[in-house]
Amino acid sequence: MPTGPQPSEWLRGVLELCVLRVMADGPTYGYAIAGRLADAGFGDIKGGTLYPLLARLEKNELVIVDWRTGDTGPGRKYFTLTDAGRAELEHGLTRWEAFSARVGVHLAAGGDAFVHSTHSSRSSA
Amino acid sequence: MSESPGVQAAPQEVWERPFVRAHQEWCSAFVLELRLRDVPGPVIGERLGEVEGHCTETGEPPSAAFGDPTDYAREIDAESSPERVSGVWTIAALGAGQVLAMLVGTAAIRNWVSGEPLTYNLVQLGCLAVVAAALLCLPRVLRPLFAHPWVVGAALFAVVTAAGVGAAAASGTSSATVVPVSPAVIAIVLFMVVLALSWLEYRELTGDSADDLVTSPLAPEPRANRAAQRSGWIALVPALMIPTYYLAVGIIFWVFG
Repeated sequence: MPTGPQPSEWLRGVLELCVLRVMADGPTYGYAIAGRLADAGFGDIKGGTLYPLLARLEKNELVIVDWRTGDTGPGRKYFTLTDAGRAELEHGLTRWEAFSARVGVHLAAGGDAFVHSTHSSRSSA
Repeated sequence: MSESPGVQAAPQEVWERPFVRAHQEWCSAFVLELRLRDVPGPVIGERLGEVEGHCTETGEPPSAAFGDPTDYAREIDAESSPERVSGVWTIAALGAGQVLAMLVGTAAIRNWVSGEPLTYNLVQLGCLAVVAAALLCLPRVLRPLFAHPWVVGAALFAVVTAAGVGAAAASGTSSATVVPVSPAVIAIVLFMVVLALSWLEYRELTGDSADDLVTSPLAPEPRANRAAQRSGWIALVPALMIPTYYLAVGIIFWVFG
């Protein structure tokens, strides 16, 4: 089955949910989030895409932030999910499952129709 | 890797950081755009800290990781808290007021010394309006001025110079209206106005909003931070520039006039 990077507009729609899911495992920072998403097969998420999303989460009080120093690098901004953030993640997961199931059913039905019409046209020829 | 939460070191201006010095052009454009949007200094510093932290980890330059600095500044600002400081436009208005008062006031000193009434014709009033408009538009012009300093700077200089030359050339060429107040009174009152506007500008620059410097949340570099101590002195320079010039011109007119 051929797989490759998904169209960017698909990712744009679910990136916030994926980021919230990463944060559900504990406090984390931008570079680590980008790394987790890359490991999950979402490709290279640029800082210019990721940080505005993180800023929106912060503005909407879905996360709290704190700066920490480390042994390497100048410091990291850590993001921790709030209760509102966890609720948003659960709500988003429920909606995503319903949506993806709906898309799956639709595509499967459309696929059957496509196979059927192709088969019919070959038979008539 | 050990990490300590809640770093509470003295804030350091972003301009002292090696990362910012290494990527001066990108960082300056980013800070300028956020300043023009009246984003508070510490918030700008935090945004720049995110860029520095991310680029340090990935090894990418900010242009590769975050794209165009102006576009990124607009995007991150749109997603951030709407917290604002009054800043740029207020200072532009105060500066324009000071310059206008100085231009009229120094002309009044000249006439005071020579014993003539102060007069203005329509061309001269138009030239004053052009200068005021140019000064009021400065915040709007800063973006293109930063991108094309020679082209936009030359155009701005040409407009202000043309207004000055036009006003000088127009004196005595058409019927002038006498200002019905003694030049001495005008000169003294406008000097008071300049002083008052300077005080307001100084207060704006030093910030009623505590410290509005662009400070970094990242661990300070070894260099000592003297930003807080310097800020008051730095703000005095632009605030006192016009009153000083006003006084100097007045003295020159009195001594050599």
